[in-house]
Amino acid sequence: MSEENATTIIRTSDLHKCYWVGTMPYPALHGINLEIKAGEFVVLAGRSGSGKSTLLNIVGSLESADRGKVEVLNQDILGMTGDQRTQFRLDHIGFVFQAYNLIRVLSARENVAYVCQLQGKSRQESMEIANHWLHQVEIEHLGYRRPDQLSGGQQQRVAVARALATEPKIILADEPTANLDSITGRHLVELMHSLNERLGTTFLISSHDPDVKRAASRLIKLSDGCIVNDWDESPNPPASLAITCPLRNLPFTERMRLFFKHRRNRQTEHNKTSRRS
Amino acid sequence: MVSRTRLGPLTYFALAYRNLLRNRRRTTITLLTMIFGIATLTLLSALNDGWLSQMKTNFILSFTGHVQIHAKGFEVSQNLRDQISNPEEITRFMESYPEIFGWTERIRTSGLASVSGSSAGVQIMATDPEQETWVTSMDQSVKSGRWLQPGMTNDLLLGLTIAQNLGAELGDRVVLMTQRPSGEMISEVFYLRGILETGAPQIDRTLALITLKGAQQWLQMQQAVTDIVIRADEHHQTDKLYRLFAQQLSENTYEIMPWQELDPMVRQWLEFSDAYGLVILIVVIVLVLTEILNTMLISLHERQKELGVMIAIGTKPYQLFFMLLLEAVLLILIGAILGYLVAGLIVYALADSGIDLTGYSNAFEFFYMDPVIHPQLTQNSAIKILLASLTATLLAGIYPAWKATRLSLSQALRIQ
Repeated sequence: MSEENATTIIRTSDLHKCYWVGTMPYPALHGINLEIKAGEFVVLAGRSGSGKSTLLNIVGSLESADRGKVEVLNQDILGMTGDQRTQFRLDHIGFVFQAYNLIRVLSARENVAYVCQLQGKSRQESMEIANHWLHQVEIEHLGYRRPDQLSGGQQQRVAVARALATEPKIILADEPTANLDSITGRHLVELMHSLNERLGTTFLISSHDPDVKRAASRLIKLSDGCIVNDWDESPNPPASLAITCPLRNLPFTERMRLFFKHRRNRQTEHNKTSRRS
Repeated sequence: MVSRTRLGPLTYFALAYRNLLRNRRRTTITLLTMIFGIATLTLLSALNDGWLSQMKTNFILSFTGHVQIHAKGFEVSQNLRDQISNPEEITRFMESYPEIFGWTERIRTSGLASVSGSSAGVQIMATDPEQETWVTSMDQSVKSGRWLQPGMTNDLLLGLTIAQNLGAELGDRVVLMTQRPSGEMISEVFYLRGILETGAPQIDRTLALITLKGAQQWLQMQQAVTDIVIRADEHHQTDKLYRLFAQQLSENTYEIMPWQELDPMVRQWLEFSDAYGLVILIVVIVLVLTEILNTMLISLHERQKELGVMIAIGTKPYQLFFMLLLEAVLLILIGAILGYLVAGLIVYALADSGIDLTGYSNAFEFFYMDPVIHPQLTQNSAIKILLASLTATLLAGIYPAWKATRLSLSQALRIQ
């Protein structure tokens, strides 16, 4: 393994993803080639519908791709079974969602401890780890509160603590500041940035928040499912971007190819269901 | 390689318990439905068991006893030639069995009774007046007159209906006519000393009761009898006694019959009641099942996103499955315990006084029923209800839990 490979933590090649509404294809990603190195603080920027969340979900093994390859920590995650993916996420990836997505019936501490328990740690050990991470995100004193007793910013800090509690190599955050006011959002970004610097955890964040973009060590701009710009250490992107991927105007042949592929998949699924019944 | 993830039982329990409290009103309504359903079911079973038990007791104690021993073929032929010529061989062991409460010997045959020009077919039964009181409660069914007395070999008791049909009154001369075992027709004069009202129409309509000694002399049967009737200490010992005699007596010489075989109609009625109870059980359980299923599916629908997040952060589908199943199990356990408790209190309160349905007594005249029903919850019914409830829970819990494991992660996470 070369030195370059050793530090590459996420690699996608020719990644395609298309959603279907009835028989109408809605392409989300179109030939994404991306390499992310360990320890980077990468922000995926782009308008709503540009494919940021889809890319994040595929890299996080929450969704599958139609075509292409995704290697995370040198493992082909698209070739994994459902259970293998779940275990992979638990061991290597932390998630921070836009709507916090904490478990409502558990306290902040229990939410963080939950993932540690999933890893097989004892309840007591999990609670100690949870306290540690709640301390790191500066809300240890609120550990006993349930999510509905916390503000949005506090809930997002719990979500960050939960994402970090399993000591993952990568944290994927989907619009983490979208539901927060600007000051709270800025604090959260500072927190994630400092954790990235102190712990060396790789952050891949989708956001169109200027504060998040400013904190990025690398900013990747997506438009219509394609990477249209990729800057390293560049907080001030040029005013105009060269849009090179007019996916909305896919050629007829490509649309037909996708249509027949979808028909084939549906037929295969139908056959499987018939055999089962 | 996939390593196993673990969640402690405490975590499963905490999640299930708190999720149930998430929507308290819905959980309370579901619990109330279950409590009502299980309490109703338990109460109906207790009433059913209560009147079946009374019916069984009345049937056994009014006439048949728990087990009867006849000479081979007598139950079908009803012929006095099929007799037990030396009953002493069998009865001498009776005292040594603690399961036997009492026993008596009888002769049964059909005949004709005549009173002052009226005559009717009767079932002549001869018994030992003292021994009979250890086996049946026939002596307590004397409506007028008195019970048979030992040594009074010409005493006769008639069933109420046959006495009315013959126009016979106490002290009347009644001529009984029948055949000896040899086939010879004979008749004898008896004196009506009492009228019986057993509550069983088929007995009251045909019974002519005389003393065993009188019958043996009259029919020239010496010590021979046709039936040996045994009463067990408890109902449930019937099978044990049956097996005991079946082992000891030759099946070529004797037929041993438990009470269930002696009156197929009563047996069928009891079986029908059991089947009817089962139908009620199924109906109530289906209602409870539907309620839990509904609650669980709504709850699942509301929590799709949260369940998706749980899978996203590393929860395995089987862990979600157990989590949701545990919720259903907790619901049914609480519902079942409280339902049992409510029903138990009602059964306890009504056990002595019973439910008096005397107003509908016409409906209870047949089949040895009492108009006052004493609810009685048997172990058998309690276990049946518990098992049915558990089955319902599993059925109602498994489907939503399985559905949760099939959740589309990407769709669940997109729910706003």
